[in-house]
Amino acid sequence: MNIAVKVQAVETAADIAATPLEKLNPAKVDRFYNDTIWPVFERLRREDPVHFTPESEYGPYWSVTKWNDIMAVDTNHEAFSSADGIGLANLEAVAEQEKVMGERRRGNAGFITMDEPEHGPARKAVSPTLAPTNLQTMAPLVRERAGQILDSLPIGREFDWVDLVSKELTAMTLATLFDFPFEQRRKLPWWSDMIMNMPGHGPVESWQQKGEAMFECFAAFAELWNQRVNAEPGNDLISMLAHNPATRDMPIETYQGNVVLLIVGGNDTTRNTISGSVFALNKNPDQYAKLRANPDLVLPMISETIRWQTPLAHMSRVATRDVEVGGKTIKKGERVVMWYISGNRDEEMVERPNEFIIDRERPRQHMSFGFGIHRCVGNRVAEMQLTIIWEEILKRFPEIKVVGEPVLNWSAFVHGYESLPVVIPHRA
Amino acid sequence: MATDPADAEAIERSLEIAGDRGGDLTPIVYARLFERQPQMQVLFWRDTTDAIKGEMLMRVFDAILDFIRERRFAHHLIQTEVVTHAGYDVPPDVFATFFGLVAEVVEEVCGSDWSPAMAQAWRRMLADLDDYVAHPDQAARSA
Repeated sequence: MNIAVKVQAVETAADIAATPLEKLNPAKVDRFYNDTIWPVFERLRREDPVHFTPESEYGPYWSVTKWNDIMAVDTNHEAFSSADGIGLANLEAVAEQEKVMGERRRGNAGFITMDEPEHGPARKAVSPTLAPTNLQTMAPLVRERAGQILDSLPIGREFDWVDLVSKELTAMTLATLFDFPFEQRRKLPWWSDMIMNMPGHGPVESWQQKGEAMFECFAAFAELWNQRVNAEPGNDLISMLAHNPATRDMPIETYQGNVVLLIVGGNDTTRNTISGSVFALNKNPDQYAKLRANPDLVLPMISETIRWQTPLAHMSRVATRDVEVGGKTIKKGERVVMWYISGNRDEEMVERPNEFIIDRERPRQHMSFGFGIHRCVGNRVAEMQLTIIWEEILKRFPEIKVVGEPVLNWSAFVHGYESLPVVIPHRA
Repeated sequence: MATDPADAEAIERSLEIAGDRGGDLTPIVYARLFERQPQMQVLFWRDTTDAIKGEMLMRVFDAILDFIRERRFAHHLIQTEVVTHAGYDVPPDVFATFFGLVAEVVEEVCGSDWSPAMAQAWRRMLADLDDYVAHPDQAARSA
């Protein structure tokens, strides 16, 4: 069951302009939900690109909003640690979750929440599965499954694109990467939604239910681990972790963290870009026409959507020492948020950044996968899935028509879609 | 160690000339990379339009420009690229090869406008870049 909560008073650009700078909290979730975040970041890039919010539901934090400053933080892992978590955490939500699940270390999302020297070997344990050469082997299977999904869609009747296509394709690919029981694949995006949402949003109804879902997920993956560790080494992610000397003896909590990372990372970014591409092409019919006329534009269209959508709005770090960024001193122990969603709209780096233009001169110039040692390990899988699904869509459907407003995620982290109503008028 | 301002100017000038004369340098740079490191070619199997290669080369130019001037991120970016590429079995010497052949191609495209000052500036910068490639451990380097 999806529960979407509408916020009564939607903030306007004038309200944002009138807010004293020191009161500006760019991570206010309702702005992401209502799609009113853009004036906030435009103002910060212009007036206070490295901005401090002293009080918020997340505690105090710095916001880094311009491309080059984000690059400076993202690539400097010695000065900016990931070990205490890579997203802003709502303090009230953390306390509630602890009541159900017990106290867990804040930075507990696998190797992405490790610093060097632990991080490198742990990441290297899974990266061969996601490397370009392995994806070449996987591509025909992804194409076959993408075709099956598209061939089963209703024609001339409204349906939710997020549910029937975006979630389904990522579920199929993730199940393949994990060698997870294929008939249970939809549990993967469901667990991802349970992990990433708070009660009242996505499928989460209560903290208790959320906790139970996470325990169910961990139990299923514990079983997979036990199967793989006692079998010959395979090419799937769990087998890689179970047999690699760097990860085979990791504590159970670290394994669970890796599971969370791989499920959420493998699910949210790809699925929200698939949904985002349909939405953006509908908002920009001239670009949709260009794509139909020239299917070679699929690859740049995917990159443009990844920039325009920015499916993960931010990543955060904690300063390990006093560091200067963009003329401001960030003190040791302070939390820093790199707003990729703002860097991707930095007027100094991207021409006409608010526009969706599928044949840009540099379509791949975006920071949605991050930079540095924590750069998205699955970026090539994501691009492969997105390219294949669009190549197959163009063969089958002249048009996918958005027929209502999308419901956006209640999150300042995952920037995506709960639902997107569409109609496919007819087949090609 | 920051790049000498005269070197930075010479490198920038050479890149400007190469940009004006050479058009898109992607095909020639990558043809040479694959000639010298043929095992790299398979990593680009999806890149039928050169878009991935082209963006990588643009990032190299962006990094060089940052490296020779403000050095806000380029030195750290190079270190982290060495680390992340190791996960795809791309050895560090590929980076040294790549920077070297970018220099080679820029020199060729500049033709008679390639000056001794440019040659010296590129030589010094390549040595400096190689040092970051060879020492990707940020903690050890900043200690």
